[in-house]
Order: sequence, then C-alpha cells, then structure tokens
Amino acid sequence: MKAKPTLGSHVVLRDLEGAQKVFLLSSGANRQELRMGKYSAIPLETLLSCPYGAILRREADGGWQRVRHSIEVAEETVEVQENNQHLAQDNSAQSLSPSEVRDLKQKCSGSEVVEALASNSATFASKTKFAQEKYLKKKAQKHVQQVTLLRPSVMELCETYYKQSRNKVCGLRYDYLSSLLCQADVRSGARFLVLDCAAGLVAGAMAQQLAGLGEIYRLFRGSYPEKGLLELDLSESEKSCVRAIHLEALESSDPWSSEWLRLPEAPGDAEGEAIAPGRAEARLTRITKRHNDFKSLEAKAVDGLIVVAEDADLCAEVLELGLPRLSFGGRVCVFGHHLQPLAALQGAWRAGNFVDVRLTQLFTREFQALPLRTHPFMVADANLCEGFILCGSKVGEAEPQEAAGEDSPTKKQRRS
Amino acid sequence: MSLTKHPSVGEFLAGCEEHVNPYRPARLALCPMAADAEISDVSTSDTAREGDFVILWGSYTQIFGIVLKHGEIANNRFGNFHHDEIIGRHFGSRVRSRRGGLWLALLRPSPEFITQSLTHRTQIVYHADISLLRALLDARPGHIICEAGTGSGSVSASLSRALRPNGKLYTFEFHEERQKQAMADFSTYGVLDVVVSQHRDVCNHGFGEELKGQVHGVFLDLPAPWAAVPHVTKCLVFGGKVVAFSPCVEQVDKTATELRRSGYFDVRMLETLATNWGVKRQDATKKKRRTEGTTGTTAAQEAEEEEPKDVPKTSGTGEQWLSYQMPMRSHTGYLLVATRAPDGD
Repeated sequence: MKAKPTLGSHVVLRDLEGAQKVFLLSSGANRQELRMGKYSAIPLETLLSCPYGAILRREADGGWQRVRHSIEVAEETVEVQENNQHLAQDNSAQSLSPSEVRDLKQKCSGSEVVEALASNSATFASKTKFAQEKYLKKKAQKHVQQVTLLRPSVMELCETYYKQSRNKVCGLRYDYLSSLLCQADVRSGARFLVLDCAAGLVAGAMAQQLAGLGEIYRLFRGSYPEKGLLELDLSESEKSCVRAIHLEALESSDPWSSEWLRLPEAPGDAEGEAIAPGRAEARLTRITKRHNDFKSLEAKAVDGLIVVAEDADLCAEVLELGLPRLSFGGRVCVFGHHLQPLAALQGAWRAGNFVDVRLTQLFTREFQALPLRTHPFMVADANLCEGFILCGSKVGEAEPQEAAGEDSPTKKQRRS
Repeated sequence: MSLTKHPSVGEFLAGCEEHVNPYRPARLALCPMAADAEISDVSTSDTAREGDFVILWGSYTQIFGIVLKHGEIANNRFGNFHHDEIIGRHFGSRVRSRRGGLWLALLRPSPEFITQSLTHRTQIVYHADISLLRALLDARPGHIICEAGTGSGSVSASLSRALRPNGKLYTFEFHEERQKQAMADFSTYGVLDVVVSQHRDVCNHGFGEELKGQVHGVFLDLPAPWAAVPHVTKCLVFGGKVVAFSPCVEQVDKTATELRRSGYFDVRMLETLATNWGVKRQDATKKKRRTEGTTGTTAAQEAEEEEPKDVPKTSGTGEQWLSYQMPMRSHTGYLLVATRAPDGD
C-alpha cells in the first residue's frame, strides 16, 4: 500500500461540502487540471508531495498549503441549557455587510474570513459550544477552500461515482457492491461471468479480489465502460484477469463467424491494401486474443455469475446465456432496482434447480457521531434501501424418480 | 424472463475438467503471483473428497458444515447421510439419505454458508455487517488485517477470503477456550494459510511487537473498543482504517471521541440491516374471491390482498409470484470507521 499518489495514478479529492471527484495525476499533454468546483486549480507538484489523507488548503496568497488534521469537536461535560428562546431571527446578528465580506475574501484566507464572521456576529458568543461548532463548520464550507486527498479504493470510487450520479453506477451503492462480491463468493483462483453496467467498477473490484489468479469474463454489448477499471489503479496482473466477451459471440449458434470473432481477410486482398500493415497486425492480435478469451470461457463452467444492469431485457438475456454456463454449486447474483422481475426470477429459481435463493435489500444509514449529539443524518432525499440483490446456488437436476413426484421434501425444504 | 434448460450432470461433467477450490490453500500459497498463472495450478477436483469440509444445505435455516470421512454418517432432521455416498459427488449434487425421500444440496463452504452453519459460541456478526466492514477496511489480497475478538469466527472466515492470496489476518481472542475452538474451526475451514489465531487480550497487551506499523486495517468487536485505540495506533499504518462494531450508541460515542483525540479523521458511524423478501406462488386458475366475510377484514380489503395489480405474470405460465417482507433483525450493531491521519499530521 503506497503512502503517496504518484504520477500516472489516480487520486480522489473531497471538498469541505463533501463533493468528491477523481483525478488522473499526469504531467503529459493530456494533463487534467486539478480543479474542484469553484476552487482554484491545485498545482500537481503540491499534490504529489502529499500522502493520501492529507489536507490541502488555499491560503491568502492563493497558494495551496498542506494543513494538519485538527480535532474540531466540541466536548461539553455540563448539560447544555441554552436554547434559542431569545434568538432574534431578523438577520441583524452579522455586523459585516456583504460587500465587507467580499473585500475580506480578497485579502484574507478562508479561515480568517470565518474568524471575522464569528467575531462580528452579535449572537456567536452567546451560542452553546455545540452551536458555535456548527456555525463555524457551515461558514467554513462557504469560505474555506480545502480538499482531502483520498486513495482510489473500491469504496471511495463507488461513493464518488454514486454522489456524482447514481446512474453512472446503476445506483449500486458501496454496501451493495461489497455484498454482491460476498454473495457471489468472488475469490482468488475462481472463474466468473459478469455483466457490469456500473462503469466497470464491479469488474474492477472483482479483479482486485482475484489478484491475478482466475478469470473474469465481462460481457458487453455496445459500450464497454472502463472508468472504474482504470481509476482503481489496478496492477497489470490484476487487469489481466478481466476478459471482454461480446454478447453476440455467446448468443450466436455459430460464434466463430460472428463479426466480433471473425478473422480479418488475408493480407494482400483488396481490402487489406487499404489498411496500413501495422494496423492489420494489431487487428489480428486483437482478434486472436478474443479467440483465446472466448475459447477459455467455453472450455469450462464458471463459478459465479454477477449481473448489474439497469436494462431488464439485457439482464434477462445475460441470465439466459449465463446460467447454463454456471457450474453446479456455483453462485448467481443479480442486482436490480425493481422488485417484480426479481421476484419472478426468485420464484422460478426456487421451483427449479437452485437452492439458497435469497432476495435481499440493504438498509444502510449514516449517523452523526458526536458527543451528546449522535443521531442519523437528516437527509430529505435519502435512499436508505437502494435496490435488491437476488442470489442463489445452482444445483443438479433431480434424478428421474425424483422428478416423478417422490421429491416430497421440497415443499418443506423450500419454506424459508 | 425465461430460463433455458441447464445441461445434465453428465453433459456438464463431460465438458468440464478440473475445478478451483479455494479452500485447499496449501497449494495456492505456493502458487506464484504471475499474471498468466495457470488456473490448473490451484485447481482441485470439482467433486467432494475425503477430508473436505463441505456444506449440506437443507433449508434456509438448516445448513450444515461437515468434514467428509469414510464410514461416517451425518445425522440431522432430514435423515442419515452416509459420507461414503457423498464422497466423489460433484458440488451442486442433491444427496439423499439412505431411507430415501429427503435430499440435501452438496455445496462449497463459502464464508456466507460458514456464517450460517457455525456453532455460536458468542453473538456473531451477520452478512450485511460483514460485507460492509470488509468494504470499510478495504480488505484485499496482500493486505494485513487484525481482528479482536475472534468470537465464533464468522468475520474471520469472510476476511480470509478477502485477503487471499498473500494477505494475513491476525485474529485475537481473550477467552482461552474460545480461541482454541476457533483455531480448530480455522483448521477445518482450511484458512490457516491466511489466518493467524492467538489467545490475547488486546486492550491490555496490544497486538504484539511484530505487527508494529505493519497493519492495513483493524476490526474491533469488543465490549470496550475505545480501550484498544492506543494499541491500534501502534500497529496501524498511516492512512490505515479501523472499524469497530458495537451494539450501543454509548460505545460508539466513546470510541469516536477516543479516535478523534488520537488523530484519526473521517470518523463515520453506519448502521446496516438486511431486509429479506419471500415469494409465494399464486395460481391464476385457482384464484377465486372468497364470499364469506371474515371478522376483522372486509371483503373489499381481502379482494385487494388477493389480487395485487402490479405483480406481473411470468412468461408462459399462468402463475403469479407475490412478494412479501420476511421478519428481519431490527438491530445488530453500529459500525464505526476512522482513518489514521497520514504521516506528518
């Protein structure tokens, strides 16, 4: 585990309001400006000199400086008695005018602005320590430019994508992602088939878990999002486990003639002359790799099948193609947002050749953990449960005499 | 959504060679971390063998973990299952008791099945919390994680999978007898390549000199996690994560305060619960409205219950699947996570 981000690696930056963004640290021609929201850009060298977890703050001179983590939590031993009975809510408490605040912001650092605001507030001194802390935190969010450097772990990336746009990761929250990996028994050395419409984060997290041993066949049609795979900063060995398989090849009765697997025309053909020899060679290499990947998938059943997709038809199609390729005793896990299609699958699986079929929702909420003020965060638009996970283990067919109706335990056994 | 027919056992076995069993770790440990490492290096047979620890699945509450031995019999409420009739069967088979009738599914011992089959010597941590704490700790191959206390080994089994290969889980238990039992379980599960189990009270004696500054994450499941914080700081790398599982708000509060004082940041408190949904079949042809009024519910209410309008029919068949919420654990514990401040802070 390296302590500092390096050139060519990714870093997650979080501002004081909790917004997060992933940056590629690059000095090349395609360098990305390290700019969070309305903040001024952070020099690359400054970022590279800091370890993960460090805080950078913009100072009055416009430069970015590393600052220490401070213990900013008020502790009060006596019971809080003050209340807002006599608080005037007429916006008269602040004696600094907006234009004065603007001037201050030109000359001073963000933290100095916050100090000035507090000392010019008629009510600040009369507030409880808890209320003062809350006031300072709110003002700092507005006036202080500060970022925290975070490691691009699965958890951090999942939260970042989710905060930016739920659609980007199919609404797959970090708790669900981790649960999927567990329920599908994703382990080093095993083989998996995955449909990952969550920006490549599922395949990336699986690759990290396999650590170079085993295979992940990632199905796709049309786009092949790789954001998650790239931003996790996986090693070459980790990345090598992930193999792209076009759905077209799986569903075709004659996969070798499908466009995705078709070998290019022999060089020297009319078409071949038009392409530069180097490109033709690259294409041949690419197709050869596809051939090998496809052969290796079809050679053996997979140990697990994971489906994360918004599109119900795509999900159904992948299950139809994937379940016959799942080994007996293998796990299948489907993530989705709609109960009904999953419930229908759940019913069909339980009546068919699956055991341990479970449909689960995760209720996860975050709390403010502060002395005498611990409570769930109050959010108006929280999704405490975010979708469903359906999982199960595939078992062999019942023997002929069982199918004849002797299989009496099923009713009792299938009761949950 | 229709499902295609699965290949028969024979078809499957014909097209399938050796399979990977991660619970045979001795060979895995020897395997090089090469990008193109052949899977056959770590594979074992796809069938259950003498000495294997396997799962027999009977129902959602009847899941048994057994070690296969010639001549032995597994007795449970489904009947008597002779090990000799299980040895040699492929995973995913239905195995029958001698008297016929009832069958159990033969499955691989995933940590989830272990959690559901293990002997409770203590309160155990369940799936939702385990999977969340694994994400919070960023447990992954090659990392070193500490756990205190071991308890019944539910978390240890899951973390061992997350850390394999090349990672290590040091798990500490202050109750001597429990540590011995846990050690025996880890040997049964075949996780001793990753798990190091020790009898130790970490609140008083710390995590040991050799782990000083070596550990990437610490999981605390202790009555007084705050008392372990100074010892955690000694073994945790800069930027490493500590996660504490506690049932009471007061425990979380004390631990959070102690962590902040000790220079940890991003102190977050989370609660996670699993809601399970059951499903039952409603045959469209049998559906008829009951005419007799029953006490308590009106006929109209009952009609509504019987015919939910939003449940789609499954393709082809005339059946409907009705979902219902199953009873759930209303509280397990809170997870508190914090990150050790980086070097220089």
